[in-house]
Amino acid sequence: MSLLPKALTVPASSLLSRWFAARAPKSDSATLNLRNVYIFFSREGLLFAVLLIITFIAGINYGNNLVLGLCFYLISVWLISFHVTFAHISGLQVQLLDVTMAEAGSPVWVTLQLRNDSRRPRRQLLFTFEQTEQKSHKKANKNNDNKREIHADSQHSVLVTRLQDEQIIRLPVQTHRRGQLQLPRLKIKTVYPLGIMRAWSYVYFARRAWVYPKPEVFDWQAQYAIASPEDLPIGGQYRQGQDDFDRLDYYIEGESLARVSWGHVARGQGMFTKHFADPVGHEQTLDYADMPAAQHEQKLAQMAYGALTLGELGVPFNMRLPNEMTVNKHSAAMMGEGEAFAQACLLRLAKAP
Amino acid sequence: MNNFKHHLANETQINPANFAQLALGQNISVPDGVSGHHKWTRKLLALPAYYWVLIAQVVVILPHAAHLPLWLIGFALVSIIAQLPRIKAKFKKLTHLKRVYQSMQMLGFLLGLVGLWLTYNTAFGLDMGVAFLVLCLISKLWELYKRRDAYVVLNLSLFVLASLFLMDQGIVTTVEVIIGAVIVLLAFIALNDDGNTHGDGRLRTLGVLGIGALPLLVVLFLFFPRLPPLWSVQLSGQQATTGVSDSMSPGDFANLGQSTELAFRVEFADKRPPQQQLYWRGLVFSEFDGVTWRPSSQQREWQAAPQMPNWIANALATVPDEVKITPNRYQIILEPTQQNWLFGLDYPFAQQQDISITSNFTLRKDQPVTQQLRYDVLQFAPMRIDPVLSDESRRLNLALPSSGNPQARALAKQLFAQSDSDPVRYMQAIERWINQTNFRYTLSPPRLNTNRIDEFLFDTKAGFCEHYSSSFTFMLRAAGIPARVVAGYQGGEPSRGGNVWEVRQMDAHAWTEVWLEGQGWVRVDPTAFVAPERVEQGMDALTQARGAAMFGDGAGAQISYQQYQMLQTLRRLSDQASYYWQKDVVGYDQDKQADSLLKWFNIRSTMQQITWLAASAISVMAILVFVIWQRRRKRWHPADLPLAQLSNRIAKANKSLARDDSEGQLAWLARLASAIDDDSGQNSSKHSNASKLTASGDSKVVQAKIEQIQQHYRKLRYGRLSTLPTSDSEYQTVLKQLKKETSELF
Repeated sequence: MSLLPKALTVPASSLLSRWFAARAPKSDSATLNLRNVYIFFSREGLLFAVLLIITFIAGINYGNNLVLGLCFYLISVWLISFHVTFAHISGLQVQLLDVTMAEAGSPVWVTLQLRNDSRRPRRQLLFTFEQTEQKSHKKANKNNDNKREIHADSQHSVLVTRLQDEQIIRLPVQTHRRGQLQLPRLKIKTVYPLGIMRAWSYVYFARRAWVYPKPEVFDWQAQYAIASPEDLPIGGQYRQGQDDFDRLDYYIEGESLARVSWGHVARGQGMFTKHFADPVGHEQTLDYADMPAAQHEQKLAQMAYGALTLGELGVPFNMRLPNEMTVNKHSAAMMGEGEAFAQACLLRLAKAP
Repeated sequence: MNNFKHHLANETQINPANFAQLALGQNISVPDGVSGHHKWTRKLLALPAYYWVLIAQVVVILPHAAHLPLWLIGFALVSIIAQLPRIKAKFKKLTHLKRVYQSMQMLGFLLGLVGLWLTYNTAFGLDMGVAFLVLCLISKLWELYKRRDAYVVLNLSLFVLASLFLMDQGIVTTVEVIIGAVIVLLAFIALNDDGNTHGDGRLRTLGVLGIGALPLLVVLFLFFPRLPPLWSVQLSGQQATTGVSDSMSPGDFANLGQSTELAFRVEFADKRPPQQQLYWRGLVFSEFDGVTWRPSSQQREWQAAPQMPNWIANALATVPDEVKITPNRYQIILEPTQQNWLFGLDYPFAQQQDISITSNFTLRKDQPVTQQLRYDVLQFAPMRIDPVLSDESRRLNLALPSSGNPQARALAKQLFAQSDSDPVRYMQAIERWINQTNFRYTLSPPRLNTNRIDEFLFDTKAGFCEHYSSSFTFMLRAAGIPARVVAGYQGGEPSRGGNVWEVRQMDAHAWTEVWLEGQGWVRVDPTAFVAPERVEQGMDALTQARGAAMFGDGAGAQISYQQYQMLQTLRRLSDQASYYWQKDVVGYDQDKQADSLLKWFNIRSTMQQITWLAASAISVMAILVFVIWQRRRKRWHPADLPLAQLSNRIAKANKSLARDDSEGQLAWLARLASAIDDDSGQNSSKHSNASKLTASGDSKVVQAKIEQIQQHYRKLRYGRLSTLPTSDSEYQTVLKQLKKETSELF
């Protein structure tokens, strides 16, 4: 491979992976069969092929029937191993049970159920999620080291040494960006029994994984003063008032100019009015607009930090995201507490555009 | 991130001791799966791959001890032992281990090269090549750390295994190679089955591959066209005991191998002379030093040139004119001998540019024969050679060592005197004496030491053609009659097709020529005194008629008669097996293949042969693949089976109504029932599911049936019946009902 110029191999391999993808429908369960199992020499098998050729030539040249006979025997063994290897992986059933949610940069864990209906156990099956080629190449343009990292990450795999009936395995998929993650193709590979033939198959799962932003610590005290549980405000719910900054909102004609955030106007971001609120109950509100960071992703990252911390502390809170406020006001205003609610909030953060 | 990696390590680390660990001398405790009271075969089978790779090396290298220098075999064994994990574990640091082993590898390889040079004195040749291959394998063993290293080692050992056939092609070697191949295959399987501490399934897989490959092997062996060599190879060192060599030392070998390898083929233009006349002359030995007979260095040669030397003209003058016009013509197809001399019937005459006739009337080629050679020979049957013997020639053919073999000399004087100094009567006297004193024809005579002629004539009295011709010639020379030994082949047999005459290495023979006044050189075969059938019927017939007695070594006298009989039978059987092995398997060449394919399959052309090859290979593969898939097919519970069949039948009509792989049986039946329910609402549709499912088309009836099936299925799988064995009669009745219902449904 390395002997060929990149300009040739890259389009070829992407063409090949598109062809593989076209042959398998996206689904959460798959049965390996004649249509989606591929077979070829393994690297060790090429050595074996060289052996066959040399023994054949030696047999012919020395006119030695027994050397030829041994060569024929090894050829026969190879032909049979071809079918044994293929039959070994074909018929295997894979079902996607669960995909965890993860923060950007950490792996999501995919739980798979493997089923073997045949009378014989299947052995030495290697399961790997392959990071797709295109993705790694895009990243490679940005940073060469980054690319190597991705390739190293994509190597995490699970070896099932013996599969009879059912087994459940968990596999990691490395994430990089917040948002929706399409699972890379799952590669199932085996070289059993001789290691000279390699049979493999790709499974394309339909289910998506969600990746929430990597939590970013920010200065709570400026806004909430709850860096530690002791500093936690007694109440959680705020009412429009005078004391604490609540949110920024678009300026509506008639509002007091004293409340206009001139900083935003000066930066040319538009005219906003500052809204203030008074703490009413124990509840807290995590508002997108209140995040100190300037960039969208960073703000979401800070909100993730807030949601996680509040969830851990068990404080009731609600979370406001600008996209949800316009589309669905009810859910945005939902209050909740605990880790489960925090997770739900993280999912909302992941889904934020 | 750290946490994640740790988690992963837990997931993948199922292996108790994998290949790489053992190769570094780590984790060498015996795996749990085999400790305890399992049978030793199970324990052996469950050994980790690393050990199997080492075992394979022992099995592959040891058979080479027959021809390799002992120091190389010793080095191989030391190298294999040094790879044991227990020994590798003695090193405290990995870097230390690797450094020591790498220097051992370099040192061993270089010293081994020097050793090979000192042993063989050459850089070429087959022996050297095989020894070098073994040295490479041994050297690679010192670098056995990863799975890929193991693959290199195993592939190399298959090479080494194949090279064993270049040295010897007997049955014993074949058995050794078969064992080696099976062990190497097992090592391959173990290498891909790391972490299987019970070793289950390994033997089964070995059986599928190893035995399954046999029919295919037979097909390939039978039909694959035997191609001519791509380039010519020198097979020096091959010519050890079989056939004719350039000197003869009776008593050197205690056992003459009976090789049935083909020496040459003959195509007679007219009629074949009778078997007892077929003396294929190759070399004439005139010089004798008491141990070895050698060709004389004072030999003249004549190549087809207009000027004929005297000795040829004299010989031709003895031929009547009418025979001169119609000589006996034949063509010989000689297999490579790596030697100069050619063979021809007494007395050959060739008119080819590169072939000359010696003054002894043997044929010589200007170059050693390294490839199959065809040449035409003429024979003038009544020709006499050297009607007048030159003084030089007389001196040469009377020469004897000044001392040694006093008994034989004394006997010669006595018999010659008794026959009134008449050479012919003298020879008859010797024949009588030999017949009276119980001489034995055997291929396994005792070794002879110093006074070889005396030891043979008066002590051992057992030998083959070399012993008889050598002693007879000695006796003649001792009496002052010029005599010499001729080496070549005698006899032969028709090929299977019958159109060609085949002479094999086992037909190698030696006889005597005696010079008689007025007649020139006359052929006398002293072997015929003891074993006339050797000459009249050929070697093959003799072996079969005399059986083991011919190979006997005198031990039979000490053991009881019955044991002797059994031994004899065994020997005869093994000789016969070896004969047919050599003839039909080892010697299965282009011509034999053509013969047997014509005979068994009526195949006449290469095209037909290839078609047959492809057709039978494909059909064998098809059968094997069918068996493999049959063994791997789904295993249904007896109660599930009728439902699976039902689903298959429905799938043919409507795929969406068939059971999905991940769908439960009951859930599927429920879905089926509701699909029919939906359908009954819209009866107007022509292709209603209900009408497909039953003849009546009444959805209510169908649903009732499905309900019944569900009920019975529940009983069988989850109810009280599920605890009963499936062979129980009550279970069987319900199962039968279920079967009946499913077959009625669709």
